[in-house]
Amino acid sequence: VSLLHWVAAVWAASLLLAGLAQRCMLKRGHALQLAQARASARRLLTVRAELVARCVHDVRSPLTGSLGLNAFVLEREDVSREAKQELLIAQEAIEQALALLEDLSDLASASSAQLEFNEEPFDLRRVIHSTLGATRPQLREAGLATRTEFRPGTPERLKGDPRRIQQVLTNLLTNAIRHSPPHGLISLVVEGSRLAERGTIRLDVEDHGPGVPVSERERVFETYVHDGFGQGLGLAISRAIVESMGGEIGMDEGVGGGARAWFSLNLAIDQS
Amino acid sequence: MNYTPPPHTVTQAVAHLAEQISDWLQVQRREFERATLLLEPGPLQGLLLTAEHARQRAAAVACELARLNPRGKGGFDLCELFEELIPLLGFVVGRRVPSRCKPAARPLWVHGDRALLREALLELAFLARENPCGSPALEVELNESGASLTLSMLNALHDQRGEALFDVRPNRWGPANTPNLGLVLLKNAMDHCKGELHVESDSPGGPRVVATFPRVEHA
Repeated sequence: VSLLHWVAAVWAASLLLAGLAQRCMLKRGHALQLAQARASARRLLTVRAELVARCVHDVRSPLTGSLGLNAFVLEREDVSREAKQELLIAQEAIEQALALLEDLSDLASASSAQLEFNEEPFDLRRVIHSTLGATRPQLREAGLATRTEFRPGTPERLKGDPRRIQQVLTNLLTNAIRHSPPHGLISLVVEGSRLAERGTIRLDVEDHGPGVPVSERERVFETYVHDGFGQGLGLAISRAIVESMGGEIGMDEGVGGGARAWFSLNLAIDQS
Repeated sequence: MNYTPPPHTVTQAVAHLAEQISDWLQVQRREFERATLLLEPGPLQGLLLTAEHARQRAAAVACELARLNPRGKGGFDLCELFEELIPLLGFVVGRRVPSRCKPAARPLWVHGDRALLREALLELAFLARENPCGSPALEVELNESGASLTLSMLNALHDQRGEALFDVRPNRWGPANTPNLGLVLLKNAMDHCKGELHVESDSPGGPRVVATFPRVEHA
């Protein structure tokens, strides 16, 4: 009986060990399959980004040429006022198409973590003024006023990608313009601090619109949440840019009950 | 259940943006056509023709990208389409296009071909722009039973009735004398949507074309 017990025990133990080994191998196999699937998905994302980048180039080049020719005809004095009016609308249509093309390019790059950034010295105050200047026509059309507050102690000479910062700020301002009541006010507050050779900046854009419910505040930065006005891509692209720069972006309630969108970045101080 | 309109994926969003780029390029095409007719024959017309060829090349690539997401075959949400197109229609008309939409109306599924209707709406906006007296020239209303689109017309078309209005013929509304494609395209799109199209010739502000889109249960 004792020998039989021993044989049974050894047989059961070997079965158990075989089972465990098989399970380990299966797990390893699954992990390998998962890694392969991830690599393949990453490759697909890169291929898609490259395809879109090539298409963007194929659309942008002829459009830029078309814009140039249009501008040349517009400048001619022998062109009637009526024809110039049509050409001005055409010019605006080309510019709108080119702006959408930039969004398309950023969207594909952001989805495959291929956004490109420059590192150059810049003046934060100048970046903010030029962004506000670029949105001036939209603000005027909506009858909106702006208030800018640059808080003391905010580092002004920084190193980073000013074009990207401008892009994010433009998206936040455009969003605020869309949701502001007529003749409302949009506040832009810039604050920051300096620690050794790095500086932290935070930019708040506050409107006096209906605000964003707490449950929706995270969702508005998700890709393609449509707000009924635009493509719903501006905030998603902004989040991809800010997070790629190691910063944070968010939405909360402003002092007046409207929405306050903000982003913060930690950048190197320009010592030059 | 909360309804979130498309696009939901990056590929859909790429196609969605490409669709909008195609719309703007269509506006550019129309403006080039009109400007070319207003220019004296000569080298400037040649330059605009070159610019138009460049536009065509760009539009062909944008169209291919838009095909990544063949949405709207069989049915689509009309609310989403109008929300997306109304700013562009306003740009073309030159003034705001009033739209009344009940929140409960969303999503408003209709039958038909989304791309076809999109093109027709853009052409209608060009027709509405040439109507200086109609204010507002183009109106959109969305409600529980469906949607309606109203285009106010010039009295010049008052004598044209019924089917004749929707034939391809020179447009008498504007100086460009362009073909009356907008209404033809609309009729075609309405046939796909199983909608109704009628002309109110005795309305106080001049004759109006009213397109009614019936709501369906689900796309």
